[in-house]
Amino acid sequence: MLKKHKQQRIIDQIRLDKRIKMSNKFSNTYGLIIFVVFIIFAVCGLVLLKKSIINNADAVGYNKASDFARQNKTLYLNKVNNLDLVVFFSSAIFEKNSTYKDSNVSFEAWLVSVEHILESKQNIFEYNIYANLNGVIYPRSKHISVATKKIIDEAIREAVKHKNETIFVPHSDVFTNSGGYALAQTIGRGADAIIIDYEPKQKSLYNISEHVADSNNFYLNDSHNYYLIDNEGSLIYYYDNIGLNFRETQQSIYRHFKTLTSDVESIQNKKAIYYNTSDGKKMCAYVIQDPDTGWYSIATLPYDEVIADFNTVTYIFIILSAFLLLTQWIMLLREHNLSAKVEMSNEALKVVGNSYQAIIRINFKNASFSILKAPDVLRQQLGDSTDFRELKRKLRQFIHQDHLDSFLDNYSLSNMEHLSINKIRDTGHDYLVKFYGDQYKWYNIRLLFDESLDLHESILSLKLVDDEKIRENTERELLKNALQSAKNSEEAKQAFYSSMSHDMRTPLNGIIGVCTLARTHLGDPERMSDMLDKISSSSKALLHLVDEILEVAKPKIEQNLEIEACNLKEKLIEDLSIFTFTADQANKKFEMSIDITHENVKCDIKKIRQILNNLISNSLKYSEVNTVVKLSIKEMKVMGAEQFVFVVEDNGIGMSKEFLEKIFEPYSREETKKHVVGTGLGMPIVKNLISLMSGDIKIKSEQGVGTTVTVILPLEACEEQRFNQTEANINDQNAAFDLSGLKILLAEDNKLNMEIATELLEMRGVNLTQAWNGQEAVDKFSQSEINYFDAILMDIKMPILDGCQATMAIRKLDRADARSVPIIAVTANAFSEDISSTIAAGMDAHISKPIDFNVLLTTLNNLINKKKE
Amino acid sequence: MNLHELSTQIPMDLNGAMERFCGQEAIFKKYLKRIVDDAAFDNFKTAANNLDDKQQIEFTAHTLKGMFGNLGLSELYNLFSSIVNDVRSNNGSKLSELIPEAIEKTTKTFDLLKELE
Repeated sequence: MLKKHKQQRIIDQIRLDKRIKMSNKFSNTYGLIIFVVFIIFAVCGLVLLKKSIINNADAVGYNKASDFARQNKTLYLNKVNNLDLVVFFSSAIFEKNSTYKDSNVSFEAWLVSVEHILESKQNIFEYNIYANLNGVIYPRSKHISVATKKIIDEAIREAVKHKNETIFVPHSDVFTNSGGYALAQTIGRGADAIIIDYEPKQKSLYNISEHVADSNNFYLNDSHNYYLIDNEGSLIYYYDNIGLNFRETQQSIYRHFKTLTSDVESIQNKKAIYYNTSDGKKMCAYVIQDPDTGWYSIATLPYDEVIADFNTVTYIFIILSAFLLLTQWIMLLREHNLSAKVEMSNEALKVVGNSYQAIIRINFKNASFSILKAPDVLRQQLGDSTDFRELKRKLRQFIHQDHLDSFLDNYSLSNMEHLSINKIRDTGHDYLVKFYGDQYKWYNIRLLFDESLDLHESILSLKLVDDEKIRENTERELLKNALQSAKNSEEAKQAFYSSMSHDMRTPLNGIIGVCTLARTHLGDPERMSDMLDKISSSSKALLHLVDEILEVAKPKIEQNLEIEACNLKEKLIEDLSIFTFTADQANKKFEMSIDITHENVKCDIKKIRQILNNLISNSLKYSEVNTVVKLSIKEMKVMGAEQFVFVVEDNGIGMSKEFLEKIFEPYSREETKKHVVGTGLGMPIVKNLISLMSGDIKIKSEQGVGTTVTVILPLEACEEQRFNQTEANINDQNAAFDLSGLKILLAEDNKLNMEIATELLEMRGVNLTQAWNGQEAVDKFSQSEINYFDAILMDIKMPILDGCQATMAIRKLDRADARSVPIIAVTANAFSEDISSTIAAGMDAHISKPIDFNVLLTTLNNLINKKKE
Repeated sequence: MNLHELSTQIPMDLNGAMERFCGQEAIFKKYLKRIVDDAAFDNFKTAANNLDDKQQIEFTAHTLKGMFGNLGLSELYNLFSSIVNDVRSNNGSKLSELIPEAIEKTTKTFDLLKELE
């Protein structure tokens, strides 16, 4: 049992888990979709953010590049202006002095002074101003290195090529690892030219970290790198914090020159141009080309720096997303754990809810209601109404009239308020309600209050409790009956004890009195003998009383039948003849007639004797002088078994109908005749014994007329002692008797049975008269001539008058053959009570359907011959 | 179908019935066929629709019991005897089992009786 219970629990848990999984699957899928959508939106957002950051970086980069370009232009223009001035003044000087020879010294000095002046105006570059006059480089005092000579020569070449234009010649010095540039312009019409060479004053100009003196220089402090290159890729100057020298920087820039300058679209759209450094670092370049000089002002920034903020945001986003995921996972886990409990609670609530036929939420403050559950018929009646008064009106139609007042009283709004105020949480009553069909059923209607509801709200519930109520009512009725029965039994017992004590005292007093008297007559043998007789008689009476009490007190289990073969007729004659004498003594008469085929039977003769003793005793006791008590014993064959019918009939005082109803109750006695000794246990004992023998007893009595008691007992005939009736004997007898010519009245209500019986009987020569019911049978018999009918075959179950009623009516008819005409019950039923009913009604025999014609012949033979006798 | 064949299809006391009908086969067959059209079975089926009216069930079953007994239809006789006994002795506690069986077998028997020559 425990194992089965455990297995059931496992199965239940599996089913619950499955349901939770289904439920969670839905919520998980939903959650996953939401999460995916969130990720998509987030990624889109991040992409847009990145784009925005890059756009911003591009804008900033190009702004910076523009500023750088602007500055470079300004510087360049300054320098060009300077050159223009020098060229102008140089031209002026040479025009004043027609030859160079004379003016050269002053011109050289002028150049040197101008050089000093210009250099002093700024501190970034060294100014070296040269003039090429007729192939001679001035100032002649200045030392010109080979590299400088080259620069000067180149500058002169370019200036001559582009007369009167300022030309730009960038250069770098591998030894000093520095860069510079020269501006040159021709003077006049020849190859004479002024060259101003700019060399950065500090070699580490380009390394920001070493440029403390230039801490105010914006470009050195900015995160961008700045490069000025000419249109051929030569680096003019730069500001960066990469740490490469000029040559390396030049090489790096030159390597990317094409990339940086060929992407015209990006330059025009001011979009960053991306390139990778030699160490794989991705760089953003913002390139501005000066339309006049063709120089490129380039600002660069590591790509990583551009998207540093984006990366930060992305990292934060990832962390947040991870946190979100973790949180969701924890919540899902928690939800899973809670789901089981919630699911169980929901299941339980559902089951509880399903057991109610109606659940209605009522607000008794504003007299409204809402239906949570209700029978369809009520919902249809209510429609959309939420008025509580309407609900009550409709419910009235369903509630039984007898319970209506109580219902209206108990479920009024004022009562609900009263219950709520007094915190009566649960109250209810049972009512008969008719929701379905025409039958009222018991419903338990309850009002429930709870803190979870609003202050002015309650729940009205209706639950079908018909079976329980009926059971309860039945049990209550049984208890009531049992109580009443116990009361009656107690009263009867008290009455019995009272009567018993009187009945026992009487013989006891008699014994004591006679004994006392005997002492005074010790010498009188005759008187003594008489007194002893009296003592003996009283003792026997007392003993009989005690025996009857013990009989009733004996538990049923101890009551067994002692079956033995005996000659019933002989035994009964022997045992019951005494009553002839007893009756005579009381000026009454006792007659006995025994008409049985099987005298030797197997039976409990003692109990049969006890039964008959009781019945005959009662008849003799409860009768007046001259009463005749008759005992008749007959035998009937029913369905192949012998049924013995014992009829005790008297014309005594009879019994009332009320007493007849309780005649078999222990201790019950009808006090219609005084001084009758008895315990009131005789009939219960008789009934008990008859039941033990599978028999039946019927009592018919009328006060002032008499009583007839019919007892039917099925007794088994002894086969080896069937000396009266062998089958051969039966056949012999039947052979001498046939049905032809007999006039038989047949009472049968079923058409087909009537036809069959008529056919079968007429086939055998019977002159048949049909009667379709009991009344017709009585009418036809009463209308017939005396002794016309030889026998009546009477069906039992018929309309108008049944067989027993018709028989009684016939027997009461005032005609000579009314009591003598053989009436045979022909019925399919062979219950003992049916047989006893037919005998009690006055029928002479009982044959069963289907008709066994041998039995019919035998029965008719016996009855008709008997009638003749 | 003849009587002999019928007796192989349904349990019946053919000899007893023939003896009752004095060997008159034609008359016996006539009543066998008649029973199909008799209202008794319909009355029983109507009564059987209301198990609470045990008296009517007993009455109609009792009628059929007699009819079937007279005609030697022993199985049906026993069935309807059981119904009557159940009402009389057990307060009809087994009617819900006995009635459907009785109706089924009676219907089957009637179908065979319709084929009787």
